[in-house]
Amino acid sequence: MTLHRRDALKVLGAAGLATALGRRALAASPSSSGSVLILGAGFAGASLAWALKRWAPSLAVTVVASPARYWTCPFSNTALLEPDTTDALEVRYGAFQAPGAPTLIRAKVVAVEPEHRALVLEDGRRLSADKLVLAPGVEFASDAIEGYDADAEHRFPHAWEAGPSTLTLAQRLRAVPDGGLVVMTIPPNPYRCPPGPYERASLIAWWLQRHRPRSKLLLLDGKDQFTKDSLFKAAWAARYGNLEWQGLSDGAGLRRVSARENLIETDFDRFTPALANVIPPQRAPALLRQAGLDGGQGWCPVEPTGFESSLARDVHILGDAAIANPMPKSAFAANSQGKACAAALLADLAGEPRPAPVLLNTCYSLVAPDAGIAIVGSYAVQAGKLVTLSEGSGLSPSRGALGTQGDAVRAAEAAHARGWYASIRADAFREGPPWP
Amino acid sequence: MTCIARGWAQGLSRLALALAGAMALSPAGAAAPSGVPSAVERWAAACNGCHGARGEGSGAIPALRGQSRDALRATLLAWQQDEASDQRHVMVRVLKPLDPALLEGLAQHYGTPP
Ligand SMILES: Cc1cc2nc3c(=O)[nH]c(=O)nc-3n(C[C@H](O)[C@H](O)[C@H](O)COP(=O)(O)OP(=O)(O)OC[C@H]3O[C@@H](n4cnc5c(N)ncnc54)[C@H](O)[C@@H]3O)c2cc1C
Repeated sequence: MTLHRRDALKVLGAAGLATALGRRALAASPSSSGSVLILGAGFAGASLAWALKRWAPSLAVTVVASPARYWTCPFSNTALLEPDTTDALEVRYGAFQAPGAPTLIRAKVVAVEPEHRALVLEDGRRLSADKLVLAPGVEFASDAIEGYDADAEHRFPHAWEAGPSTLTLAQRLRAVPDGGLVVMTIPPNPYRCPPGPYERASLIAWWLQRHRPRSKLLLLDGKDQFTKDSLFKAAWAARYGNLEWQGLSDGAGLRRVSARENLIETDFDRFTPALANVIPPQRAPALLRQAGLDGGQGWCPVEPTGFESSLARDVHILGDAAIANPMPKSAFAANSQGKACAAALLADLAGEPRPAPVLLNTCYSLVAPDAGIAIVGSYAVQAGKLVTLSEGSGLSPSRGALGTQGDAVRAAEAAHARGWYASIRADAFREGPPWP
Repeated sequence: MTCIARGWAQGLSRLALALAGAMALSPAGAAAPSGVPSAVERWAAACNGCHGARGEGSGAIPALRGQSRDALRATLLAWQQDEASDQRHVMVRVLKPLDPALLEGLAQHYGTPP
């Protein structure tokens, strides 16, 4: 169809004039300019922004992230044991002030317009660019649990977003009387950080063992299998007589909660615990679903080379919000996807084919403060689909396989987990000493 | 949105944006964003996720930058051939799918020349 200039201007007028962050070169060669606009400065968005700047310093890169403070979820489970360390989880984005850094705008985004590659900010500003990348993390599906209202969220804090709610859960744990029952409810797949609930359970059991020896931790799980389950269950059997896990087939599926009655109701049972940590099911944020980017599935489908939306051209979706199976929703995966997306965007802007993505994941989990286990995944695109490379993937060895080396190996992996955490913060947020 | 509708909307928005761009506050004629990363650069960036933004390492995770090329090459090769039964299983697995040219490229990228 032919479009007259007048019509185009009318469209613009109706939509409001976009503040274009760079010029889309229609006539000129594809590499003559470029701009990328990113929603989210979590592990996915920040990693992408810095990868772009590393490889194309002159590219116009703008990141919009909520003015709310941001604490990393990784290592927020250990903060339950040492609440004083919660402060250290906060990312302060200092490197974004340096010359040559991506432009960081702290503002709430209220709408996404995929067809314009545009974001609408709370203050009415509208930004657009050649490429739009969306990495807003998750939203909690409070309507998925009967009775889960604001009171329930307050009574049964999830702490599945780190920060003040981590502190709340840590304080509530300290208020549990000896002998009091602690319950965790764990959602069915998929959700942010598949091993996270089991790491948290291990650390809570460790704490209870020392400080509330007559208390018990009951895990009510919405599934029958979970990641690293053989390793977690072996660690629990060896360490934590105070921990009991029940799966979906045991009747542990969550039916209803009630803040007023302090009630957790499963398919088979009812509990009135001293403390409940209810981790709600999750989905892509409404912002993306309202823009039609989830295709009605709750999470956003993407192609796996550059994480471009399957439903909108030049719109890419990274991190927890995307469907990137078999990659888990983890900070490690989000960081890896950010770099793969950066390479694809630069290839697009240069008019070259997108290179094969390098996609990795390692989820370390602590089964005690000084004992870690890990799962490694390497991924490749085959016939347009993301697959796990079996030779590049696997679990920490079992205690049986380790023999007398067991404790030393678990301690080494706990140390690796801590090292990884410092490194990924340096890589994703450019924390640490200034760059030359 | 159907594909046709989407294509139409996109055509429209591109034109709209091109026009908007002419009036935009953006830096006119930004320099070329060169730098599609090579395979070695993409792999090195992946290493940085655990070894730090400059391969500087942290705590129990060793630095890659600053090792000699020969030492780094030897470690990478030894681990790639390892059977992954202990605490090094993460690196042993991550390195398995890499071809020799990439391993050499990483040794060159991070290692200090002799
Ligand atoms: C308890 C726990 C422990 C975990 N441990 C680990 C671990 O050990 N290792 C690991 O790899 N992963 C771990 N994870 C998972 C990890 O935290 C997530 O996978 C990761 O944060 C996903 O990154 P993201 O960039 O997709 O989203 P996020 O990190 O959630 O970032 C989202 C960004 O989008 C912004 N945003 C969202 N909506 C808006 C809006 N409307 N306007 C403006 N900005 C907006 C936010 O401000 C933020 O900057 C853990 C998670 C939990 C809950």
